[in-house]
Amino acid sequence: MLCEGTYPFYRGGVSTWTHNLILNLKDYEFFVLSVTPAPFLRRRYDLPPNVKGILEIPLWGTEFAKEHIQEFRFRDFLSRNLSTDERKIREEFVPSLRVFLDEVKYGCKDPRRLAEAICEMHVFLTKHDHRKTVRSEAFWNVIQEELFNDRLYEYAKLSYMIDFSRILSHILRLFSYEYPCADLSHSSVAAFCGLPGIILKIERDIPYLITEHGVYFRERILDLPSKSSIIERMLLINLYRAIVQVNYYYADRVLPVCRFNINWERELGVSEEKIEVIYNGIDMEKFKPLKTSAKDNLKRIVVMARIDKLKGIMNIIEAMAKVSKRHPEAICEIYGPISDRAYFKACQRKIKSLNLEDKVLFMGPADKPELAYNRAYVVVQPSLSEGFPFTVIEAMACGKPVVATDVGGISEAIDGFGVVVPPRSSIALAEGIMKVLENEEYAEEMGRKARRYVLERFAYEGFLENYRRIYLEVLSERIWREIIEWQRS
Amino acid sequence: MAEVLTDLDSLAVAVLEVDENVKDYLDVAVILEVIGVTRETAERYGYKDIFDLAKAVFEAIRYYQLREETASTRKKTRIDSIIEALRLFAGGVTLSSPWVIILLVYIIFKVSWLPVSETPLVSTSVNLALVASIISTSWISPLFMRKLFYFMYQKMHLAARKILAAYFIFGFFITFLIAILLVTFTNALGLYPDWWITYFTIFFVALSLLWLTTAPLYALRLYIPLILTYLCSLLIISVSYTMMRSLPQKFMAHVYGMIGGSAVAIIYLTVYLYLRSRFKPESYENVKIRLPFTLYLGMPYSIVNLLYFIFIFTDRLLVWYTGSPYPFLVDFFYETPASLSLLMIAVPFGVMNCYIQRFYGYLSGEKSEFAAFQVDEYRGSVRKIYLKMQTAIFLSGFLFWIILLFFVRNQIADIAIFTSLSIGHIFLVSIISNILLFFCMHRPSMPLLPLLLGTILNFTLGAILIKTYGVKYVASMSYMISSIIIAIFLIIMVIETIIKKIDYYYYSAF
Repeated sequence: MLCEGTYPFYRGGVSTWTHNLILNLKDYEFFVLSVTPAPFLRRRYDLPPNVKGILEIPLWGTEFAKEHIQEFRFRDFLSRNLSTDERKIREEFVPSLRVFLDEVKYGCKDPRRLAEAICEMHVFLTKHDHRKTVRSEAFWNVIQEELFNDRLYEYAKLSYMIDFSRILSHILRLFSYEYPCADLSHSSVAAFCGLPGIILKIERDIPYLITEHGVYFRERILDLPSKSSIIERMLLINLYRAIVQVNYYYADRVLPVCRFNINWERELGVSEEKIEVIYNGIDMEKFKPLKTSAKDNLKRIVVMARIDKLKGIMNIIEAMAKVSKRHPEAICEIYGPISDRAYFKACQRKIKSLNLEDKVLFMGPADKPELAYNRAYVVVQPSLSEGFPFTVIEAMACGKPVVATDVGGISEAIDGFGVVVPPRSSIALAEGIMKVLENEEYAEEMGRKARRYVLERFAYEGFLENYRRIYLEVLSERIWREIIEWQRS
Repeated sequence: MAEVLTDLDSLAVAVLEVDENVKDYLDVAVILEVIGVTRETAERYGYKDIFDLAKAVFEAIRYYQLREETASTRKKTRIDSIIEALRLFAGGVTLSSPWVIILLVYIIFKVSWLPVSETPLVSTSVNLALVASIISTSWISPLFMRKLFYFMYQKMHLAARKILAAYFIFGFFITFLIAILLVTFTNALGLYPDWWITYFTIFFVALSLLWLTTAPLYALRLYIPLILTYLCSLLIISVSYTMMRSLPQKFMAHVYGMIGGSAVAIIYLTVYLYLRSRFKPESYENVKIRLPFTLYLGMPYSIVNLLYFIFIFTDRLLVWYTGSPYPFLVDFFYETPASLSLLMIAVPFGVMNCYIQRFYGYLSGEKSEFAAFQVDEYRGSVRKIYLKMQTAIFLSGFLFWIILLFFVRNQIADIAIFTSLSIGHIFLVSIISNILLFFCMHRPSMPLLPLLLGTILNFTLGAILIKTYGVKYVASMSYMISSIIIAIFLIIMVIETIIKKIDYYYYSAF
């Protein structure tokens, strides 16, 4: 299982999906390869017994690749270090780096060429010192030749290009690791963490699957720093596009969690026969209507989302300014960790400026989300971008009416059993919330129908069966390929 | 009306989230379309079409942009720049402490940090302990500080705490080990009387502890705690000395002061790191420090630091060397100009700190606006700033030397010693600025050879000059000459290697 910035170190939809999948596919053994920003992160999930190991690949936070792994001996590091010199880097690493950069800077013209370069870099970096390689003059010269002197990027800010080169050098850490041998690799996103899957596919013919929650490429575009120039943005977009393209190209199956993602996947060149939608499943025993301790007359509007620009928290705050004027009994409880502190502070300022200090409350991460949902009168999802959010179907499973923005697979998830409003419109969001608040019968009816609908469509069993089937399909396809090759030879 | 304004406001925020740099209403209209605002929405807001709405939203955006521009303009006022420069200057001067603080406190309050010399033998023990403690601890802190700094930069405070703990354990262990070795060695050879060895050992350990504990404050540029540490140390000395004035072991007041200072530094560092990890809850656990990796990384820094301190004390050791009856004996005639000349480094250090911070800011692109194809221009402008920094160091140094000479001329018997050492110190600041540059570029091995050769030159030239002229004080000349040679060598090295490919060195520094 290949993860990036999620399982088991961060809580969220993708991590929940990964955990549930592993936990419930008891007849499969998993090895988790997790790409993280730093080492020694606290695990937010207890690993199920069928997880046989975990390889943490921090891109930052250590000076040497693998330094955080206790089994990686200093002696081995020294021998790698001593065997790495400028000549070797120039002769054995630079040619593949050149190809890699050539592909990356134009968003991947030829995925096979890019993948081959990646494999060659992997071969070199597993035997040599990553740090010495990326700090070498030979490395820098190629960067200059391929990026700085490229007519497309020569007007980008020099400081930006230096920073970009640094980011690239850290990404290459991914290739310093020996990946565990498996029968199948399954990435939870079509991103950098998928690259080991591609390497394993090329080197050992191991089938490779991708599950797409949000479309990685789309989300990266939304997340681009707005202060950078168009050329600088283009470089980043092309890097992401290249990584996504190569992922799609080598994936045996691309498994979006909702139909919304398909349009993007098709646009990015995934062939129709590779794509199959597998909706997320949730534990209906856990997420069900419960009696909670809240006995006041407040009408709670619950938002379950991390505090991040993409989650549209500002939108719900602004909506609350309108809602609370007509419904002083309404309060908004936002459950979720803070992933963007600057944004969190901006939200706090907004709350203060709108005098909503006692109306909008940040509750922190919810250990038991089912209880938080059950406290709600209405559950709101104000996101600007989503894949197929668990929060919506979990809330529906708890029998709560949902008001959500029309992004990603939300309309698909709600399918008429909730209120869908346009994104970024606090007025529409407020109107949606008030529609539920002002009509108790409608709210109850909606909640009941929503639960029934989720029971039919998003139960665990179907979700797990689908993955079991896909795993067996790709494994048998591999066996067939081997048989055919054997027969041919 | 308020309703409309609030909505325009939210639309403005939404547009700014997509692109903070929208230039006109057409830009806004494009983004409005992208985020799903239709003609119907515009009509609902009371505008005839999306362009009409975009114009209104753009007005709101201009308000935000102007507000930010005003805020950023305010940041760049001349007064703010001067305050910033003064702050950096003061920080640089603090870096050259303890000499400045100690001297100022001595002048104002008559509190002496080290025991005021009674006999040359007593002074020798204290001064030798001072030199030995500085040299013996100089190599320990850099072994760990690079990693400490790295973890602090990564905001991995738990890891930083572990590094700090490892550093203190290692440092204290090594200090006591060296103390035992020195005592055993001096005892075995019978070089000094027993009381002298005790005196030396006590001061050696106390001073070493102080250097060890203040090293992280230097590394993390915690200037105010650094000053506080020395001031607390001096306060403890003052109080203890008043209480012990009539006792024979009144010299212990100084030891208490040093240990008190160490305690303050340790407490500050512990609280500083604890608070950071306590109130900004970390998502790290089971942080494991790999000592071999840490030491491997810190080794070249450690050797450079060791060589640097050997280099700056070589002249004194040559002057103090007598051969018999005691191998070293402090020479007061040399000590006064030597100690006063150390004040020289304060001002050029301040100037260096100002420039080096500007230099770093420039490298990181904060103040430079070069495009990728303008690498040569970038290198040229960095070269200019570097040369400005060196010129400013020398100019400020020489000016301050003239001023200082005017004030201290009556206190020193030999102006030549003071002059040689002062000039040497001016060049020493240049050497330090270059070493810091190499360190910043994470190329600590580069200044190793010049420093090693410079130290050897300082020693051999000093020995030859002493032998030739029969006057020990010519050691100050050898210090001056070797400082000048190393400084010139390092300047050429920086210009020819680092600056020539500053983009590469800056990239690979992190």
